[in-house]
Amino acid sequence: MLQIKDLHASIEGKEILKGIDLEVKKGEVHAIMGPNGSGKSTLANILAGREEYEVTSGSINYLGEDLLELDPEERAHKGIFLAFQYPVEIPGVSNVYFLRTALNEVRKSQGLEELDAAQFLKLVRRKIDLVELDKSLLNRAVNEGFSGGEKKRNEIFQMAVLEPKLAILDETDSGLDIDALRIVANGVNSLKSKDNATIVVTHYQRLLDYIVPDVVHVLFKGKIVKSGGKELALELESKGYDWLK
Amino acid sequence: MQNEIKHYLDQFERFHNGSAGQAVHALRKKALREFEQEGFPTTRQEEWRFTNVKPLAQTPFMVSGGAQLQQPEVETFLFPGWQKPLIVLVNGRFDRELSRNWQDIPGVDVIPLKQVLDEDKTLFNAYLTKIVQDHETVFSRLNSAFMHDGVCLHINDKVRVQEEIHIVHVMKGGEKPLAAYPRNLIIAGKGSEACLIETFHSSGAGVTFTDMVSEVFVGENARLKHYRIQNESPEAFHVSNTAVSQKENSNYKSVTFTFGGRLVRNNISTALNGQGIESTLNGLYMVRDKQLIDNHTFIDHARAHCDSHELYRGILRDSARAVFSGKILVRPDAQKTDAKQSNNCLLLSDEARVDTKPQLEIYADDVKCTHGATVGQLDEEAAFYLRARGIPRHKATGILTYAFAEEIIAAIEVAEVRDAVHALLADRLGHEIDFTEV
Ligand SMILES: Nc1ncnc2c1ncn2[C@@H]1O[C@H](COP(=O)(O)OP(=O)(O)O)[C@@H](O)[C@H]1O
Ligand SMILES: [Mg+2]
Repeated sequence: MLQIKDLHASIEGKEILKGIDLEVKKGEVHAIMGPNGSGKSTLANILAGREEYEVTSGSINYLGEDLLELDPEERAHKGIFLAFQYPVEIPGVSNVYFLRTALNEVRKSQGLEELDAAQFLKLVRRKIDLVELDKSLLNRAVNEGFSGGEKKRNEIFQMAVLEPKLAILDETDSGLDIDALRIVANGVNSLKSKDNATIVVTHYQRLLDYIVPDVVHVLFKGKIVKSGGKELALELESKGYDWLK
Repeated sequence: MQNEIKHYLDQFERFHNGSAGQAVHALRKKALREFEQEGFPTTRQEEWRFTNVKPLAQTPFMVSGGAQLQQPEVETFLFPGWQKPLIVLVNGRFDRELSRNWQDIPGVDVIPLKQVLDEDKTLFNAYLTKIVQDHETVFSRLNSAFMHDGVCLHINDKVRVQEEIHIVHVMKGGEKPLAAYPRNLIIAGKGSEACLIETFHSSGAGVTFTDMVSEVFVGENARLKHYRIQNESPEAFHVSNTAVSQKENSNYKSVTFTFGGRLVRNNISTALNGQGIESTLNGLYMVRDKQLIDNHTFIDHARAHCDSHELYRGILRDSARAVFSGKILVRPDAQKTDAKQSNNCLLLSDEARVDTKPQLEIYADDVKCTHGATVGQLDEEAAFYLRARGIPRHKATGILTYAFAEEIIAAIEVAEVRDAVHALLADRLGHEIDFTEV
């Protein structure tokens, strides 16, 4: 599904990713761990199409296409979803309008009928329970005045509605208490299928108690320095990152 | 410059030769003399630093006579299904044929201004020029020199007008550049309540100039809402001079929407002549191509315990330009004044330009005055967030622009006005967005 080859990327002339190789297959869950500043969000944002980062060399192939050639919206249409580490507040735009517009754009791009307000609301009612998000948040402005946990759950809610093929969760667990963590994990797990894949970016192993990864990678100073099974996460938890240097 | 002035002196001779009663004519002549002395402003004058009126001054506008407009065309300027009072002015003249439901609004006298000038000594003596005289500009003088017709609305004391009143101003162009000088007198009696909506439109092609004066009197405990939507053609010059006088415990709210016109200057001055007054001046504009929109506001806090709120937002595309100047004067007697002013602009292109100038003059010590101005580009973080969810760039721009404008639009009580503004925003963004559900 996704092949990243020798990816180098920089921002403002500073190299942040220094040769990333990563392959994600359908049905897999990959965890990317690593200390702050190692480049995890950079990688996640490059996958979603953020334009500030300059890819200086390497390639990303997604479902047989050159991902780097696509605009962010085109990537979303083709099933890529980034749950933001810092979801953006958009005053003046209601959550429902935002999400219905997004869903209809994705549907249009796939040749599907757009949903009208009533159909959309029906869908939303089913999905919102999955993440136990307060329904009153639907009519509020996107993320405006949401608590940290509400923002993160709103990301997963959006994911539930958009049903992506490749979901990238960028530290969706940070700032969540155990209950919220479980809710988020349940949301992710119930959307899992043999046709889609998930990349979970985190720097704690506790989320991985709930979302069980097939592969764990350690990103350190812009490079994947180690990959392994889920036991690697536990090892990192007890030993920290120092031994990898 | 001499020729430009002479053109207006000649026009005056032709237009007013032998017409109208003595009292009006004396006012007109006085105004013309003042105009002659002052001349058109240059950018060396502080109040006109950013707005060059040369293109206006150098166009030889002819005073428009009565122009004909067909009913079906008027319909295109109305809110869908509008059955409430409607007053239509064509090239500054009150059109009795096209206006409707205006003669029987309970407690409201609607009088064509020509009738006030010619016949109604009471209103004439009590109000005409009495409010604008403290806020004259060269353009209000020019209006006084050529005033001929317009609308006078007299809301009687204690009357709560149930239905909004819509005044449609249509400016019909001709082969030669045409000018109109509508003059309005709005009197909200003690304890009255009303909502007034004015919209401005062009009919056909042709360079036009509207130079309007509205004198607004808001009596004790009266509440007046005053919405304006300017949507004239890109060939239209438009200067509006609104002078407001408020009495004790009154509430005046003005929202000025500007979408059309080549050069638009809106002067609004409110004098808070009593305690416990609330005054709100809001504005929203979206301009493109080479349009220039200039909003000048002046709030005169003369007495204690008054609140004023100002929120102006502008959206500029292409090489459009905007000017905002907000003057707040707090006189020594105006203790406990609470004045807020904020002006924000969103630039959707690198060529667009904004000049803002807040001016606070405060001579009382126990007051709260705040002002803030921002000029910025589209929030790229937010745009990326929308795009990452599948919303194309142009639509993301539209949604964020809409959101920027929403604080002003959401505060409007009249659904027809909100819908009309939403439609104009969508149109100016150049693509279909249904904002009604945002
Ligand atoms: N917009 C930016 N401008 C400048 N430096 C940045 C920017 N974004 C990230 N960086 C830098 O890139 C490095 C990696 O950041 P990031 O990808 O956010 O790490 P992580 O998500 O692993 O904590 C850090 O040193 C950070 O300071
Ligand atoms: Mg990060």
